[in-house]
Amino acid sequence: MIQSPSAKLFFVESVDNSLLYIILERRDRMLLSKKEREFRKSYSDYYPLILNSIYYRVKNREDAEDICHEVFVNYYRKFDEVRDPRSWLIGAVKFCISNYYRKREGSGAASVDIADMEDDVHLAFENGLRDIRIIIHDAIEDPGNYHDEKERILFDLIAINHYTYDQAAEHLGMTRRQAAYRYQQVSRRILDHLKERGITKLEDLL
Amino acid sequence: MNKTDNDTRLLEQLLDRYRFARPVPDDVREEILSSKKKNLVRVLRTVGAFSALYGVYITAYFFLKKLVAGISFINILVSAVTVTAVTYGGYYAITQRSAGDVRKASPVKKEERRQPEETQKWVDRITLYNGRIIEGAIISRGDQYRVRTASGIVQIPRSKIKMVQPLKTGPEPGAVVPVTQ
Repeated sequence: MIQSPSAKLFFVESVDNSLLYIILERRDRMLLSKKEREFRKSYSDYYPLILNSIYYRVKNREDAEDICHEVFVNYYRKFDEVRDPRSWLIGAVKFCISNYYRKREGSGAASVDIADMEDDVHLAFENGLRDIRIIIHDAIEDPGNYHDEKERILFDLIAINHYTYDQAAEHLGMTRRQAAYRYQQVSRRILDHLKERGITKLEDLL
Repeated sequence: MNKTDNDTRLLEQLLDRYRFARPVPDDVREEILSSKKKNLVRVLRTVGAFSALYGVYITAYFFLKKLVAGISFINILVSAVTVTAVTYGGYYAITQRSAGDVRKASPVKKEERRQPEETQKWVDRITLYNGRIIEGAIISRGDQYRVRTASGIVQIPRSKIKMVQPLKTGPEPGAVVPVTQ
């Protein structure tokens, strides 16, 4: 039996610390598994968009996969700090592509023209139609046009990356009919947005 | 793509015209979709978060996701109803089997339907733990008692029998013979 008050206090503190350690360890373990779970979901959602975007720029499958790998490794390491996965990943794509080719340029390998990667709508100018491009960009980026992130990914896959309904449906875990219906709903919302901004006849812009 | 909606088609043309589209060849799209799991494992290995268990989990996750993607709501509903019915049926059968104290051993033959008093010199009263009483001639003992009754031969698990009481003849008529478990 522990007799002295100081020994009792030490014993209680030791038990408390041990319990605290176990609780913290369990919490960390739970957080880790939660992080892995959320990362896996996030990866699963954005992987085709990211790899597609990289491939579109570098035009080489092996390079695209390497860069995509680098993007997601960085994403995993920064996962707890990332608030907006979409914006973070798009920014990381640009950074990782230029970084990848900068490294390879050093070893004399073929490179892409990094200037070609620039797709900032505010800098792009084509036939004096910059304003319209900005309006369209705003309509696509407006979160109000999407009920959830899944709809946004669906729209990106079909309208931007030209995936079929079947491919998009398979990726997002829905049926073809659901994909088609939700895609058309999003498209109508974007068209309404454009109409509100004064673009009533799309044919005139084509 | 089979898009019938005219406005949707126009919107797509608009996105192409203003260089929002980022299409890649068909075969690359297929490869992108099929390489999802492989590259996830590669990323997890790099960051040291991959384990065999997690590998199994990822495999199951992608398999189920792919499986569900090809199934419509109606199919899921029909499957759910079928599974529920089969499960309930199985459960009902098992509970009935275990609750039933008496099971038919075999189809009752004509000669077995004769009254026990007519063919046997003795008749036993078998009291079960659930209170049910069966009268007939015990043909064999063991884990399963075979008893010839007025309705045929029945089998009774010994564990269900509380006591056996000879009624007509036997070593000591009227004596209660407890069944040892």
